[in-house]
Amino acid sequence: MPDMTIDDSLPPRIVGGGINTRESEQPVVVTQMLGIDDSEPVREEALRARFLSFDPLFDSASNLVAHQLVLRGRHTSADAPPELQQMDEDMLLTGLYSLIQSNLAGTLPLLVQISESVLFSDIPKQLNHRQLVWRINIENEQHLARALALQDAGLTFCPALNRAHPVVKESASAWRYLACNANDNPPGVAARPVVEGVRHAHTQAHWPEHAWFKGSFFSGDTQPADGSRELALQLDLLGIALRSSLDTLIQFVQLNPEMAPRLLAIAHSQVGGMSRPAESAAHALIMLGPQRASRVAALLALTGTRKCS
Amino acid sequence: MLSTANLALSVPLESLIRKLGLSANCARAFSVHGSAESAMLQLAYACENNDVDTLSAYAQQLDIPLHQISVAYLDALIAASALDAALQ
Repeated sequence: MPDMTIDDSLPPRIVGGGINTRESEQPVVVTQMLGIDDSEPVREEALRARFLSFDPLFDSASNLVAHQLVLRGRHTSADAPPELQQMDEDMLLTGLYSLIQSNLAGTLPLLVQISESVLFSDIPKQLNHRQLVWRINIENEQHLARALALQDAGLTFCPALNRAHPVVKESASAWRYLACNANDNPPGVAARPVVEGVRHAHTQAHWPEHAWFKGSFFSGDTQPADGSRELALQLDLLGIALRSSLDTLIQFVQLNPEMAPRLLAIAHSQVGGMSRPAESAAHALIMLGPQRASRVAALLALTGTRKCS
Repeated sequence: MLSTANLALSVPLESLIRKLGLSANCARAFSVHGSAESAMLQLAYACENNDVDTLSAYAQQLDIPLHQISVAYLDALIAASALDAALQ
C-alpha cells in the first residue's frame, strides 16, 4: 500500500527541470527543454515522438472554460515495460513543471491527470498552483484519504469516483469538480461535473447547466496513430491560434520548441511584419500582439511546423 | 486563410470543423450553402480557381467591387510569395 503521508525527508523528484516519478537514487532528467541524460538515449527518442498540448474543455454554451494538459504523439503500448509507461507521466509533469516555472500564464483552470503513485508522492504539493486541478482516480479509501488530506492542504481535485465502492461514492459532495463519463448518470451533488468522452453533441443535454465537457467531439483523439504526429501538432496549433489566448499560444510554443525556427521565419517575414528581430519564439509572439500572433501561428500550422513537412 | 485549411492539412472539412471547435459563424460558412458567410467563402474559392463567372456572381451578391477583390487577391499572392521565400 502506498505511503499516505507526505514525507519531506525524501529527496525531491523534481530535478534539473525534469521530473522522475520512479523510485531512483539517481535523479534522471527527462525534459527536452532543459536537458537530456545521455545515458538513456531511449528517452530522447521517445521525447522527440511526443508533444504536449492543451485539450479544451467547454461549458454548455460552448465557451472555453478550461484546458487539460495532455501528451500527444506516439503512444506507449499497454504491454511496454512499466518504465516506458511511467515516462509518459514524467514527460507530462515535466511539461507542467516548465509551465509553472514560467508562471503558468492565463487564467483558466488547467487539469492534469496523475497516477496513484504520483498522488502518493510529494509532487502534487511541490507543483501546486492556484490554476491547477488534479485529475485523479479514487478507487478505495486510501486514495480517498490521501486526496482529502491534500485538498485540506489547498490542492484542487477533479476525481473520478469508483461508484462500486460505497465510501468512495459517498464522498461526491466533498469535491469541487467530479470527473464523469459521458455515459454516466449525473451525480446529484453541487460539484461541477467534468464530463469526459463526449463524442456527440446530444450528450450535453443529459447534464446540468454548470457541467463542463471534454472529448474527441471537441478536440479529436488524444493519441493519434503513428505517423500523424505532425498533423496532430498542426491541428492543435491551428485550434489554439484560432480560439485561445496569446498566453496559451506562447505556452504551446514553449512546450514544443521544435516549431520555433519556422515560427520565427514567418514572424520576421513580410507577412509577420515585425519591425525588429525577436530573441525567441515567445518573444516574437509577444511583440506581434494577439491578432498578428494568431495569424502567424495559423500560417505556421498550415505550412507545417517543421521544414521536412 | 481557413478556406485552404482542409486542403493544406488533408483533413475532411467536417472533421476539421469539429476538431478546431470553430465558432458557429465559421462552421456555418463551411457547411451551409446559401448563407451570407458561405457566399464569402465561395467567392474566395472562385478567386482561387479563376472562375470569373462565379466570382462576378458572388461579388454582385455581396456588393463588393471587382477591383477591390483583385487588389485583395494580389495582396494575398504577394504575402504567399513572401511566406514561401521566408520558409525556404
